Amino acid sequence: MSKPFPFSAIVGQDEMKRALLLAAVDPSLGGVLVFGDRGTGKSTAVRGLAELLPKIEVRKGCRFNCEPDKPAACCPVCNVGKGLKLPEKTQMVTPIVDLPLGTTEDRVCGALDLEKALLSGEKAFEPGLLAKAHRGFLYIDEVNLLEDHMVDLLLDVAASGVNVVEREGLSIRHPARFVLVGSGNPEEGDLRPQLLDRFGLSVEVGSPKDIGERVEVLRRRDAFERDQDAFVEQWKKRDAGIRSRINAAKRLMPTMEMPDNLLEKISRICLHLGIDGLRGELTLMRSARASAALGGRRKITLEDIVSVASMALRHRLRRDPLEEAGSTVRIEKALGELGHG
Amino acid sequence: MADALSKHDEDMEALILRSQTAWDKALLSAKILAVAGSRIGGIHLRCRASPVRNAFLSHLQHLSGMEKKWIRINPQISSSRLCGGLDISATAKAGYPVCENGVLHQVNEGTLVIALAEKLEASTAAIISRSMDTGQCANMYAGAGTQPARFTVIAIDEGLDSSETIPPALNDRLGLVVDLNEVAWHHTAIPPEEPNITHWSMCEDAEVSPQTLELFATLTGAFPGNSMRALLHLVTVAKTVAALDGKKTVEASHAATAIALCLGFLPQLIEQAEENNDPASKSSSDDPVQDSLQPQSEKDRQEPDKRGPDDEDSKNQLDLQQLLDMAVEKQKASDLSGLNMATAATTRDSRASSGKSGMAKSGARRGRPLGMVNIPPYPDARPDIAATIRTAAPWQNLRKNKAVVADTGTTRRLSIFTSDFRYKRYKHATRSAAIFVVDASGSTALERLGETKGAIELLLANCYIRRDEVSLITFRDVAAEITLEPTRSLVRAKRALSEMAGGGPTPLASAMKLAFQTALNVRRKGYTPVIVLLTDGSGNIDLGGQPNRKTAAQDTDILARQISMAGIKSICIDVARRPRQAVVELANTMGAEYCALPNANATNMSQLVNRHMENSKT
Repeated sequence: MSKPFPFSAIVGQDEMKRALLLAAVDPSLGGVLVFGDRGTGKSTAVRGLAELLPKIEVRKGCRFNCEPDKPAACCPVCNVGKGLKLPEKTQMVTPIVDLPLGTTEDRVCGALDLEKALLSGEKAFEPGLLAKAHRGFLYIDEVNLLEDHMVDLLLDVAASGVNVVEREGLSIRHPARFVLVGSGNPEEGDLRPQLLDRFGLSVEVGSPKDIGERVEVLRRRDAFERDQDAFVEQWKKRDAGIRSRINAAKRLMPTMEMPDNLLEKISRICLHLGIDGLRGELTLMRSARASAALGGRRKITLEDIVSVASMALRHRLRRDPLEEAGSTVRIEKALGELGHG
Repeated sequence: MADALSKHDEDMEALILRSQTAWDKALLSAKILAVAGSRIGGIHLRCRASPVRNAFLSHLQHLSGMEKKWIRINPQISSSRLCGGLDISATAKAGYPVCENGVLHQVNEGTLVIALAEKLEASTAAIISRSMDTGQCANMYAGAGTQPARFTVIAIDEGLDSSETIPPALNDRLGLVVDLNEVAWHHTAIPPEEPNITHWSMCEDAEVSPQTLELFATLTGAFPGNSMRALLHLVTVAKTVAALDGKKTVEASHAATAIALCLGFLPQLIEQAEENNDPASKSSSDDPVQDSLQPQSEKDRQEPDKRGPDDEDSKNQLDLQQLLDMAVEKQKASDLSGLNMATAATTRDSRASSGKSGMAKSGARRGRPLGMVNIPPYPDARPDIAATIRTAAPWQNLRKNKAVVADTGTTRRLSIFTSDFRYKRYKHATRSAAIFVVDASGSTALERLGETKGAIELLLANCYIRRDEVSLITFRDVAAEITLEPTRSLVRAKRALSEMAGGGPTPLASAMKLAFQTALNVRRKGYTPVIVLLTDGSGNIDLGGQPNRKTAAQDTDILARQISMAGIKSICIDVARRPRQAVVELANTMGAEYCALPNANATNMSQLVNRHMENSKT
């Protein structure tokens, strides 16, 4: 089986890499949307990220990725009868689940277990991709081409963190909290506004314009294809560095300090840009916090806020079709007007 | 007379040469694919059904090895067939889940041939592309897990023109482009088999100079969407060409060949002029393919000593400028025959349309339930279990005996036949498409175009919710053109609208014809078309492009009648300072709603059209 391309070996695309790391530090951020040209390493980055994430603790054989202390009510493995022993705990790599475009509803949210239904006439639930992605990442490539009925499904789950299955005589609800990562090319169609809003961060990627960078991409790709093991080994140290940064940041998160004057600044930025609802402010605050934690600082600074403002707010601006300037420019302008640019 | 004849002969000569060159290129591509395999993804084969294509395909199959898998799929393939899933009939028979392998796994280590690839839907293309990237394929049945799926793809594109081509996601991953449309049957000689097939390990170490890398990087960067994959493919192909040539380093001629194969235009090295006059060098070549592709590159091979390192450098620089110019020209001509780049993205919607028309037939996947049917309304539809059992229930007593015989002794609790399966059918609100036809002639054109642009963008901004599309046709000079293909993407619309020109006479008839065709096209896709015609008078250019008011009026009249007969809803907006009788008459003939808006502005225009799009849905 081929190995994923190391995350740290991806040339450039700093904003995308940073957004993914922020989402890894704070899963409550609400995921990352990567929009841009083809062949810019969107999928490569997401697949590489899997190697960097810390392991999660689950019980052996659990198909809902339950937290051992707080199991889902419908999980037959983590809820055993009185007097019976629970299966032992194990470490599992953080799941990164691919949601293929052509997939079916049953596969995503789970359905009647046909094997049990046919063999023993038992009504059992077969968990789907949403259960598999619990406590991990759900990755949708070409998210803007996703069929409407699938978007309907995801919208609710992404917001509530609970997957509700009411079909074929089953009535199941199980937790499905995941970091939603989507990628796509805006030229092929826009994303439904409701789904757009569910993403915490949004980044725009383009192919590197610099010739040196392009050639470097070629070199690394070539080295990777020649000898995957050696190449992965070569970048192992840097990947490990990033991994320990994520871990350290995760430990820091509960003790982060957010000064009041900065909270006010955040509100002011959002007001100035005319962003509806509180989701923008909340995301901006959380991502600034994750940014500081990633930098190993306990205290959040204004620089943190400025550095994440574009990715946290870009997709929330009210879209004025007659406005020529892109969203990024508008945010930078607003920051400049408020004296933080 | 003699002149005409020799001209004819010259044309023939050129055609024959082109045919021969195209075939040689195809053969070289086949060789490269056989060596590099999945590293370059595969071949985008532009060709309609013909013996030439069959010859090429069988040659490809021969090169790839007859023992390897060679699976041909059609674009309507369902995702469960591609990835594999539960085999319902086998499962029902066996009484335990039987999983079938998907095509992508079956074709592992082999070649996947996609027939009619221009009809492939974006979502199907995305599934195939993902397997090409990861070398794996996730079975739809959770128990089966992921299976290896490493293969090369041959996408047969029968698209008529540049607006009909394979999905961009797939296009981006296919390194080679082969166009067989120009190849004549008598040129399709398959060369004798070569015993020592070059292996990839020999190509891998071919040296690529930093200058060449830079040249490739700059060149691929000049295309819109400058994909990094194109760059990777270019280097892989250049290395393979060098290895096939028996060289250890990639020379200028190899680089040029790679550009010709991947990007579809033949770079001209600067020494060309002198070189063509030198017949000796041509005949001295040992490789006919290289020769026909690169007659001009002989000099590089013959006189490597005369060329200092500085010289080499300056040549590359010169080359680069020329190549970039060619790349720009190529884009201008919007000739996609060889463009393996994201330029294709601009035409995606029209291509996806062909796939979507299938969807319109096969029914919606959500919406209001309409009742039960006994055939799956769309591929992959899951039978409704309750309804299926209800259908089968009355027959159980009759079927009991049969079930015992068929099933060695054991009785089944339920016996369900294929004919009992019932599927839920849904109805989803129909979508509409506004086709703006805008008069870009005359002095007021610019202002009017500006307002129309505004209206289109405003409509697009809120048409996502209703799944509506907007298209724009402008007319000026001698003919009308589609400025914006029916689209839902604001990003695309903005790009298309930013480059519009105005001024010149009024080819109204040509515009009506194009609008009529577009309307029929979108209707076939399952949309309800609404034509919005903005004009201030009658046309003065007829369908043939000749300035003749009389015939122009006749043509317009006929087309207006046809639109009316086809029952296409239309709005006629008179934007002249003073309303004109001609426009009123035209509106009447078309069965259009007449509307005088001397000061048409973006907001009220979009409101008017919006109202009509809403109404057209009932």
